[in-house]
Amino acid sequence: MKKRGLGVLRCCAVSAILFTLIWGIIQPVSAGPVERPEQGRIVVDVPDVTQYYHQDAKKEWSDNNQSTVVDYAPDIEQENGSQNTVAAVPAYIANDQSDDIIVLDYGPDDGVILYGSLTWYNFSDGGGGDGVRYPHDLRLQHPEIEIETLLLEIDFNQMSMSGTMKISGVDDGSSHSNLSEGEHYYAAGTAVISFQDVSLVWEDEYERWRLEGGSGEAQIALEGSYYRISLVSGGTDLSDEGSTSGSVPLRNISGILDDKLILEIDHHCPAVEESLGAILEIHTPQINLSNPQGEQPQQEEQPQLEEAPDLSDSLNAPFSISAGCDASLASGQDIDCSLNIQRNSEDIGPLTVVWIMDGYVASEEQVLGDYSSFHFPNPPPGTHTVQVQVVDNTTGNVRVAAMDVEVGGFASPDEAPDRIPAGAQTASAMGTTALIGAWLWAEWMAAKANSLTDERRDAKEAKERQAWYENQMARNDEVRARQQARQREEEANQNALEGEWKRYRGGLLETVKKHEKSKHLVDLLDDLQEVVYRDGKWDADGLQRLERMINSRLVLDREDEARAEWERVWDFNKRQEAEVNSILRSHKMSALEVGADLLTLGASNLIFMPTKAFISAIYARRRAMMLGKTGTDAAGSVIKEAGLSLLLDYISGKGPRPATPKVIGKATIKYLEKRINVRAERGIAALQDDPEMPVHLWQGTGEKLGVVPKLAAKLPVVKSSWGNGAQTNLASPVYRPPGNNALMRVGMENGLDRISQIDTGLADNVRRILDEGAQVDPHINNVLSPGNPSYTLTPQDEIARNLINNASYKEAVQDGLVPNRVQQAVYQTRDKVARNAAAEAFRALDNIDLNGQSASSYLKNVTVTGTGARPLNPQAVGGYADWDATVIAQDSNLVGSAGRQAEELFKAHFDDALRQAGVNADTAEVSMFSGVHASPDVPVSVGYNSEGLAHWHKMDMACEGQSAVRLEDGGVMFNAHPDAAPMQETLMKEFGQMEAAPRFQTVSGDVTADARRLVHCHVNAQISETGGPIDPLAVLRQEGKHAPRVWKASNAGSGADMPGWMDDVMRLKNDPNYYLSGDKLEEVWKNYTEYMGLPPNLGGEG
Amino acid sequence: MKAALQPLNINGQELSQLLLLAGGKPGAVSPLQGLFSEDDAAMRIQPGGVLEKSDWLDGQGQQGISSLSVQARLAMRALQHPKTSVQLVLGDLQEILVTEMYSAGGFQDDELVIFTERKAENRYVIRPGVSPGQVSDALLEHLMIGPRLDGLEFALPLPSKAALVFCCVLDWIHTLRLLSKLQNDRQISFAFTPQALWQRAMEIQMGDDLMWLSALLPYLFPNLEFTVSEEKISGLLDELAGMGYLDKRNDDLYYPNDFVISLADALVPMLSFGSCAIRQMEEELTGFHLAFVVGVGTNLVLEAAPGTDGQHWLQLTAVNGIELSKLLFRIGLPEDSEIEETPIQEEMAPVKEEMAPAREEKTPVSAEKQRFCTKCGAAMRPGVKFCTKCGHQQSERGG
Repeated sequence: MKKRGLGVLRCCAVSAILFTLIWGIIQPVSAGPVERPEQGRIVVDVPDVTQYYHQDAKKEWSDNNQSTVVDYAPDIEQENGSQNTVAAVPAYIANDQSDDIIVLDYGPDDGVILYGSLTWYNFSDGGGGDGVRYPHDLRLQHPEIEIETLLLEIDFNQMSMSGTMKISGVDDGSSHSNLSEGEHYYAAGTAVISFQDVSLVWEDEYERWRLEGGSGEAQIALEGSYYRISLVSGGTDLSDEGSTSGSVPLRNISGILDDKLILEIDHHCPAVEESLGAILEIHTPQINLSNPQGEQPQQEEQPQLEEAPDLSDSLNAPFSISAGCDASLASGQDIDCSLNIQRNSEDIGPLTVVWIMDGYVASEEQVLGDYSSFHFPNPPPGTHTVQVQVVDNTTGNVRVAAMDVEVGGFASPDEAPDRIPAGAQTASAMGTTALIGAWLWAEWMAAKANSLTDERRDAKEAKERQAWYENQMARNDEVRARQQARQREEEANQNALEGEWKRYRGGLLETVKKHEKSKHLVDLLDDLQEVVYRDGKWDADGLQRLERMINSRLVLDREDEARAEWERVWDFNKRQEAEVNSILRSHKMSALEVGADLLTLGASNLIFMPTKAFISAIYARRRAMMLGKTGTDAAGSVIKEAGLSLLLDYISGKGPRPATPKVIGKATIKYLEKRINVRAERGIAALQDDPEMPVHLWQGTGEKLGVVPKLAAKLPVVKSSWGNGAQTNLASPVYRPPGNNALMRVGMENGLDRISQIDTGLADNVRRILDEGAQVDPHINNVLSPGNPSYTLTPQDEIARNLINNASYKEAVQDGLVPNRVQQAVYQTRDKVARNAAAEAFRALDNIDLNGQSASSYLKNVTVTGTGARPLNPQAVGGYADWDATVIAQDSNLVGSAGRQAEELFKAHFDDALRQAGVNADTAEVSMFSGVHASPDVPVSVGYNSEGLAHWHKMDMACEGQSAVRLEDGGVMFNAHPDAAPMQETLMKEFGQMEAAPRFQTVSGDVTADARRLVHCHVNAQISETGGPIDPLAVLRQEGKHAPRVWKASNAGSGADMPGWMDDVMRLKNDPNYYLSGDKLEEVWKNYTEYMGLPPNLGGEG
Repeated sequence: MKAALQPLNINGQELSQLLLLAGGKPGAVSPLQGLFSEDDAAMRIQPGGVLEKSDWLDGQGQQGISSLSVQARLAMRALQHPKTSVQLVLGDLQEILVTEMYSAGGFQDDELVIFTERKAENRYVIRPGVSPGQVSDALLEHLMIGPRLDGLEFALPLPSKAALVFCCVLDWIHTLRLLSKLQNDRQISFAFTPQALWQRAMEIQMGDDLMWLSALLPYLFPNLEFTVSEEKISGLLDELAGMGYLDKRNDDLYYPNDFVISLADALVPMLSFGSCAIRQMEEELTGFHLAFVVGVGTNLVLEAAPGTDGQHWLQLTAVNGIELSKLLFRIGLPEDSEIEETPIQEEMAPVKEEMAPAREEKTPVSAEKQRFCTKCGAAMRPGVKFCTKCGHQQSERGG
C-alpha cells in the first residue's frame, strides 16, 4: 500500500467533492443509471438526449406578447427609431429564462424534433423605409423545423465547446390552417451549422460562462438565397455578417452561453429593398454551466486510495478465521470489528491481516497471535462492507471474511454532524482510515445533495407537469370536440354522397330502360364504384367525374341513335343509288364522296346524308310549302328532291368527273325520274303517319348538334387543310384548359411565327381567334326577322373583322399560314356582316319611294356567290375567297328604269351599311353587283350580254351560292345552308329559286364573243391595276369559268359531255391548291384560248 | 376552401420579378431555368401592370414593396423546384395541343401548375390549380370518340424501332387504299419492297402530317429513339416477318398479313390521339407514360417499357372504349388507386411476360385454358381476335 503526503490527500478530497458536485448538476435530470463520464469530457448527442429526456419533454409556446425585447437586432431598432411597429418586432424573442420557449421532444419516430418559435418577418432596409413590415409569428401545430442531427461537445480539459447541428425545414401545407393572409411559412430545405474551438471562460463577476474565439460555418440550403446567419446566445450575436453564398462563415464567435441559441437567417432582396428573415430559438436545456458554488474549478489530483486486491479464499489453508462486526449502527457510532484466528499447524508463522472498507484498504498489520480488531470511526450513513483478508505470506494461503454494516442515515447533509471536514483536515494524522472516511462522507453528502436537488426539481417539474397536463387535456378536449364536429360533418357528407350515388344509378337504370344501347353504362358505373368508394369512403370528386363521364357517354349513345336514323334514310337512298348504278353500269362516285369515303373508311356516310341530300330536301320542302304545297305534297317533294339530288349528282358529274364519263341522254333522265318518283310514292306512304318526320328528325338532331361538340368528330367534313393534302377535319380538342394555352410544336406555332413575320398584329389576331375557339356555327340562323333584324357579332367576330380588314391576312391565307378553322370563322363573320348589310339595305329601300312604290318592291332577290360566302365549304379554305352578290330586280323589263334604279339603290345602301359595320369592302373583297342582265341594249362591262351566258352565270351563282329573298313579314331569308348541295337544272324547274328557270334560245352565236369580251375586259383591268402581266395559270383560275359557261350555253340538254380540259379549268377555279404545270398547263391553255378565240399571249405571258 | 389563383399571362420582366419575390433563382430542373434576369428583377413592379393587379401579391406597401401570397409561393415553388412534370398531349389530324404541368410533389398528391412559354412573344403563362382529375377528364373527353363496345382487341409488344417500321407498314396500307380508290382500282396488293416503304416513310416524315401513324409516333414518345436508317429497314422488316406480321415471299417483297391490314383499316387515319407523361424530374425515364390513339375501328393504348437489351419496347394494346374509359378515369384518382391495378394493366402484364420469350423465340408454356393460333400454333390470350405472333385472324370457335 502506497503512502501519500497530506497535501496530496487534501487536494484529492477537494477535487473529488467538486467533481461530484459538478457532475451531479451536469448530469441530466431524472437520470437513470448514469455511467460515470469519461473524466473531464462530456458528450451529449441525440441518442443520449432521447434517453434522458423522455420523461420531461413538454410542449409549450412562447407567449410572444409577454416576451422581452432583446438586443440582438439593434440595427432594426435604431433604424426605425420610435415607430410603433418597431417595438413590437423583436417581441417574439423571448428572453425570459423561466419561459421555456423551446424544449426537446420525441417525434413519432423517436427522432428529436424541435418545437419552437419560428418567426418570419420582412422589413424594409433602405430608402428611408418604414421599418419592419408584416411581422408574422407562426404557432405551428405540427413540427416545422426538425433537428436531423445534433452534437454538442464540451471539453473540460480544454474548456472548449464545439458542435454541429443540422436542421431541416419541412413544409407541411396542412399545418398552416391558422395562417392569416400575408403570413410566411415557407421553410423547406436544410441548414447545417457547425462551430468549433469555442473557449469557455468563467466570469466571476457575472457568475457565468463566456464564449470566446472559435470559428464556425453555416451551410444554408433553406429555400431562397439567404445572406446572413447569426448565431445568438444570451442576447449576443456570435457571428459577423456572412456573405451572399450558401456557405456562411461564423467568425470570432463570442458571447454568453445561455440556455438557448438563437439562429437568425436573413434573406435580402435588394430589388425591393426588403429583407425576409427567420428567427429560430433553440433551447439547450441539457447543458447548464452555471456554477452555484461560486468556485473556480481547480485542477486537483483525485485521492489516491488503494484499491484492495481481489483475493480468493484458500479452503485448504492450515488455518481458519472467524470475524464479526455490529451489523447495525446508529448514525455517529463507530464500526468495531474483531477477528479470531485458529491455527491448525505449528508451522504457521506471522499472518498479515488486511481490513478493507468498501473496497479500499483501511488498515494492515502483522499478527502473530490469534486475534485482531478493526475500528472505523464516524462512518457515513448507508451500507458498508467490511472485509478482512488473512494472508500467510510464506505459503500464499488466504482466508477471507466479509461483513455488511448498516449505518442509519440523516434526513439531509445539513443535519449530519460536521465530522468529516475536521477528519479530513487531520487526515494525515488519522491515516488511511480517516482518508477513506472523508471520501465516503464526501460521496454520501454529494449523493444526498443530488438526491435533494432531484427531489426539489422533481417537485417543481411535477407541478409544471401537472399544469402542462391540465393544459394539454384542455387542448385535447378542444381538439376532440373539433374532431367530433368534423366527423359528424363528414358522416353527413358521406351519407349525402351515398344518396347521390343511389340517385344517379337509379336515374341511369331508368334511362337505359328507354335506351337499350346504353345498358353497358350501368356495368361501367358499377365497375368503377370501387374506385370512387374506397376504404369505406366516398370520393366526392371521383363520383362527380364518374357521373360526368357516364353523362358524356349517354350523349354519345344518343348521337349514335340519331346517326342510325340518318343511316336508315341513307340506306333508302343507297338502294336507289344501287339501282342507278346498275342502270348506268357505273361505279363512279363523285370525287367529293370518294374523298370522304376514303378518308373516313365509310364513316363519311354520316355526313353525306344530312349535308348533301337531306338538308337540300328539307329546304326543298320548305320552299315547296312556301309555294303552297302542304302535307303529303310537301313530303313528296322532299323524297323526290332527296332522290333526285343524289341521282343528278351522278348524272351531271359535279366536280372532277370520272375518268370515263358516261353519256346520259334525256331519255335516261326521264326514265330515272320516273323510277325515283315511284320510290318517292312508296316513301310518301311510309311517311303518312308522320309527314313531318324528316323535319323533326333534322330538327331533333340539329339540336343535338348544337349542344354536343363531339358530333363533328363523328361526322367528318372533307376539306383541304394547311397540312399536306386533304385531311379529315375533326373537332379540335374538346378539352381546352381555360385561359391561354399553347398550340404548339406541330405547324401551329411555326405558322404563327411566320404570320408574325408578315404582320405581328395579324398573328396576334389569329391566335386570339384560336384562343376563342375559332368556332364556326354550322347551324346559323338563315332568317332575319323584324324581331331579330341582324346577326349579333361575338367577340370572336370582332377579332375576325380585324382580320378581314387587314390586307396582310389575304397574303397569309394564300401562303397557307392560317389554319382552316380560323379561315372558316373569318368567312362566317364576313358572311354575317354582309348579310346584315343586305338586310339593312332592304329595310332602307322600304322607305324610298320609287315611282309611287317602295324601292324594295322592285327587287326580286340577292344572289350571293363567291366561295367565301360558304364558310363550311371545303373549297372555301386554302385560298382567299371573295364574297360576291348580285341584286336582281323583279322584272327584266324594268332594267334600265325603276328596277335598275332599285338595284343601284340597293347596292349603294349595302355598301354604306358595310362601311358602317366597320368592314373595308375592298380589303375584305365583298362586292355587291347591281344585277346581271342579258340585254344587248344596255351593255355592261361587268356582266354577260348574251342571254345564254347570263343564264349560266345565274345558274352558277344560284347553284354554288346562296340567295337572299325578302319575306312577307319584312325579314330576309338566306336560303342556303352553307354546305347545301347545288341545285340542279331539273330541280330548278320545279322547286328552284322561287321561280321557274328562264327559257332562252339554246344556241347563240354571240355567246363566245360575249364571254371573250368579258375576259378581255377583266384581264386588261387587272393588268392596268397591277402594272404587270398575268400568267396563264392565273388567267385560267380567274377567267377559265367562262369556257364551261359558253359550252353549257351551247350544249346543255344535248347529252354531250363537257370536254375534259374544262374539268381542269373548273378545278383551278375552285381549288387554290390545285396546280398545273408544264405540258399539262400548255395543253389546257391551248384548248382554252382556242375554244374561246382568245390570243395565246393573253395576259402578257401566254 | 382556398380560391384558385388567377392565371398569369406575363412578360419576361414580370417573370423575373415574380421569381425574385418567390425567393430566388429556379432550380436545375426548373422550366424557368435561364429565364431569370437580375436586371429585370431589379425593376420596380409596374403599377397597374398584370402582376400588380393580380391576386398573386398579398399587398403593396407605401414604398411599392410587395410580397407573394402563400398560394402564389406554392405555385412558384412547383415551377422553381418541380419534382414531377406532367405532359398532356391532345391532338387530332389538324392540330396538337401540348400542355406542360409541374408539381412540387407527386402527381396525385399536389396541385399542378401549367407553364407555357412563348418566347418569341416574350409571354409566359402560369396557371396553377390544375388537378389530376382534370388531366384525366381531358383525356377522357378527348378520346371518347372511338369504338365503344366493339372494335379490334389485341396486345402486341414490339421493340421501339420495329414499332416505327410497323407503323410505316400501316401507313403504307392506307396509302394504297387511298390510291386504289382514287384510281378506281379494286385489285390492291399491299406488297412492298423495303425501298418503297422507306420512300413512303420519308414522304410522310417530310410532310409532318399527323394523320400518319409513323409521323405521330415520335410526338407521342419524344423520349424514345425512333431513328431508322434506310440500311436497317430491311433488318427490321425481317424482324417483323419473324414475328409473323409480314410474309416475306421472295428476296425483296413483304406482304402484311390479315391482322396488319385489319389494324391499318381500323386505325389509320386516327380520329384522335393523346398521351400523358408523368415524369420524376430527377430521373429521366422514370414515371408513367401512356399514349392513346383512337381510330374508327379500335382504341390503341401504347406504353413504353425498357427492354433487357437496352432498347425500349412498345406495348400496343387495343381495348374497347369502356376499358379505355376505365383506364383513363383511374389516372386522375388518388394514389392508392394505382394505375397498375386496372384491368388493362392486368391484361398487359402477361403480355409483358411474354415479351422476353418472344424475343428469345420461345413459345410460352400454356395453361389448361390456353388457346392457340390455328395457323402458327402460338399461345393466345382469351378473347383476342388475331394471333399476336403471326396475325392470323381467329374464328369465333378457333384457337
